[in-house]
Formats: sequence, C-alpha cells, structure tokens
Amino acid sequence: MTRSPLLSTLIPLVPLAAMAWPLHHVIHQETFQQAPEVEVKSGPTRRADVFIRAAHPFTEVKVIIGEASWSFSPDEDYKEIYFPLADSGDLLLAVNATWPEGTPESAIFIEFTPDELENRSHTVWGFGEITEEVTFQWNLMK
Amino acid sequence: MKALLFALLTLTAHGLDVASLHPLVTDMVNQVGGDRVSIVQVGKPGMDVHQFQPKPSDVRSMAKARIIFASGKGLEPYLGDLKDSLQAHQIIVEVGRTIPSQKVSAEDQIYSCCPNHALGGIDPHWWHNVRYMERAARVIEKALAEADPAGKAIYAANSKAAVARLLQLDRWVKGQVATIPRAKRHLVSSHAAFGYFCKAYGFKATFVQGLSAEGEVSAAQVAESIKTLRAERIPVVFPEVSANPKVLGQIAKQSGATIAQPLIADGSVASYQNMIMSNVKNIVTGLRQ
Repeated sequence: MTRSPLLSTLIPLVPLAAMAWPLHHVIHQETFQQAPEVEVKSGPTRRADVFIRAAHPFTEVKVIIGEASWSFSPDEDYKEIYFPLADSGDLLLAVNATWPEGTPESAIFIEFTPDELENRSHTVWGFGEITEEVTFQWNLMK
Repeated sequence: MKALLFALLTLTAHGLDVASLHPLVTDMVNQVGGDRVSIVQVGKPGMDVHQFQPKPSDVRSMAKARIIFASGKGLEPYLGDLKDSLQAHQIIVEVGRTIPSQKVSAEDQIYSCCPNHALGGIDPHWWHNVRYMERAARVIEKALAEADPAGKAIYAANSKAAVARLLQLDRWVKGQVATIPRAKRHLVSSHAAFGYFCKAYGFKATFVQGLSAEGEVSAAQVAESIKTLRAERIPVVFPEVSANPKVLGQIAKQSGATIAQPLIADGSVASYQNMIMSNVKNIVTGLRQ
C-alpha cells in the first residue's frame, strides 16, 4: 500500500511545523531595551575670556573642561573659549600647570569671565607639575 | 625707516571709521583704537542719555562708520530702528553685552529713571563698576580687530594698556572706599543709577527720587523717603548732576540730612576715569563727615 503524494509531501513538514512556534519567538525577539542613561542637563554653550597670571615663568598651563582643554604657552595670558554650562550653574574645571625644574613653589591665578555672568577666579599653588580641580558656580536663576 | 614711515602714513590714511552713541564708550573706543580709528561722536558729553534719539543728520554723519558702538543693556531703545537704516557694511556693537545684568528691583522701581527701566528691567548703568568697563574694552578690541584685522596687534596692545589703567582705577576706588567706616557705606542718591557701583563696592543703596528730568515725585513718595532717611539716620544725600535737585533738597531738609557734592550718574562726560574719581571723591568726602 502506497501513501498518497499529498500525504508523502506533508509528513516531512510535520517536524518543521512543530518547530514553527518556538522559531517565531527566536526570530521575532523583542528589541533589547537599554536602560535610559541619566542625562546631565547642560545648557547652551557659552563664551568666556580666560586670563592667567603667573608668579614665576611656567612651562605650560592647561585648562580642562570635560573632554576639551586649552593650553597656554609661556607667552600667553589670554584665551577665548566656548564651553557648555550645566543648568545647575556648576562648572567643574581642572587646571594643570608645569613649571621648569628649580622653580620654587609658585602660583597661577586664573580668571574666568563668561559673557553675562560674574567673574570667577582661582589661584593654583604648586611646583613641578600639579593638577587641581575647581568648581565655579553661578546662580543662573537670577 | 622710509618703509616704516610709509606704513604709519598708510595706517592713518586707512584708519577705521566708527561711530559712538555714548560719551563713555567714545572714551574707551579712543583708548583702544588710538590713532588708527576715526570716531564720529554722535552721543556727546552733556547729552541726556535716557532721552536721546538720533536725528536724520546724526544717521547721515554715521554713513561712513563700519561699526556703531552703543552702550547696550537697553539704554538706547532706538537701536532697532537704527539697525533698519544701516547699510550692509555697518554693524552695531553693544559694548555692555557681555556684562552681567542687574535688574531694577521692586524697591527701586518707583524711582527708576525712565519707563524703559521699570521693575524687572535691566539697569543700564553698568559703567559704575570699573571691572565691567574692562569687559567693555575687550568687546571693543574684538570688534575693531574683526573689522580691521591688520590693526589687531595695535588694538590688543592698546586694550591691554587700557585694562591695566582700569585695574589700577578699580584698586584706587577700593582703597578710597576702605576709608569709609563700614556702617556708613550707605549711598542715598537721586535715581536708581548706582546699583552696579553699590554691589561692586559694598554699599547699601537707597534711591529717593525719580530722575525724570522734571523730578516728578508724588507727595506720598517724598513722605516715604523722609521717613526712611529719618529711620535709618542717613546723614548725607547725594544729588546728581543731571537730576532736578529740588525734591532731593526738600527731602534732605525735612529729614535733617546734608546735601553732598553731586554725582555723575549717566556717564555723559568725556572721561571715564575723571567721572569715577569725581564720584568716589564726593562719596568719600560726604560719608566721612
């Protein structure tokens, strides 16, 4: 007794049909939902004049804000910079200063003058090489 | 030597034409621009800075100016109209634009100088803080250098020298103020023009009279001012060069205060340094009595 051609064709498809439902789940997996990043609210970019005054000749002074940095060579005392200011009004910046060998403990005075905001300044003391972090704060609600 | 002479002559011949709408701004543009800049002074010493409107002849006189310098912070409410009448090569630079604004507070507003400077408005008298004039000098330097890149080094050197003078002036002001006992650092003047000065140099401010040139102050306001002066035992009040002294005189007489030498509020003078020194000398003399 021979099977009908239709039955002969359908029988091998049975295991495939049985796997269809699990396969559908594997192929149509829901897109992986990444946990949302906590976004630091940053305001618009601002312009500022940055001035430095040094008690002794230095090798280099770097002002670092986030990923950006501005380097002052020994004959420079001014730079115009653009930086993002968080809505909180807090600005964390790092100052890296290097002095030539043999320079006694010295000071670098940094004055930060953003447009439409009050001046902020800080003095970094050190010798050899030093990196110091400083937070400037403005009340942006005024 | 000949080449140097030729270069100097060329620089003078091709100096940058600018215009200024405020006398103090003119002074600073002169200091930063030096001989390289030719200034049309539209706002002249003695002008009423709050009421001034450029006439058609003023606009014509500025036709050659590449830059028109204004004080900014709303002092020149006509700037919008003026912009419309400018040619393509002309720009307006508000030198006060980078300066932190102080608002006219609720206590000051009934005494504000004109309707443009009412409650919540920006106080336009920024020049009374000497450190702010440094910022103005840098704005001027940048604007001149952008319009005339060949003169960049000259403007930078002039600006540096001007800023050094201003730093020295600021130190002088602080030194003078230090001679006034702290408890006496209370500046009572006619109109709300000294907010920036008071904040910068640690004074309490009271403004007892409106500037409006006619000095229109209601009887209730006068009575309130007399009450305040008596309550706070204010020994001296400061009139202003450009304000009507009658009401202040009446307030002083009835409160028992003396009247000091007048202050220059609106900067309608030729020399910034002289204005600051005159004001500070009068304040120190008045408050040390």
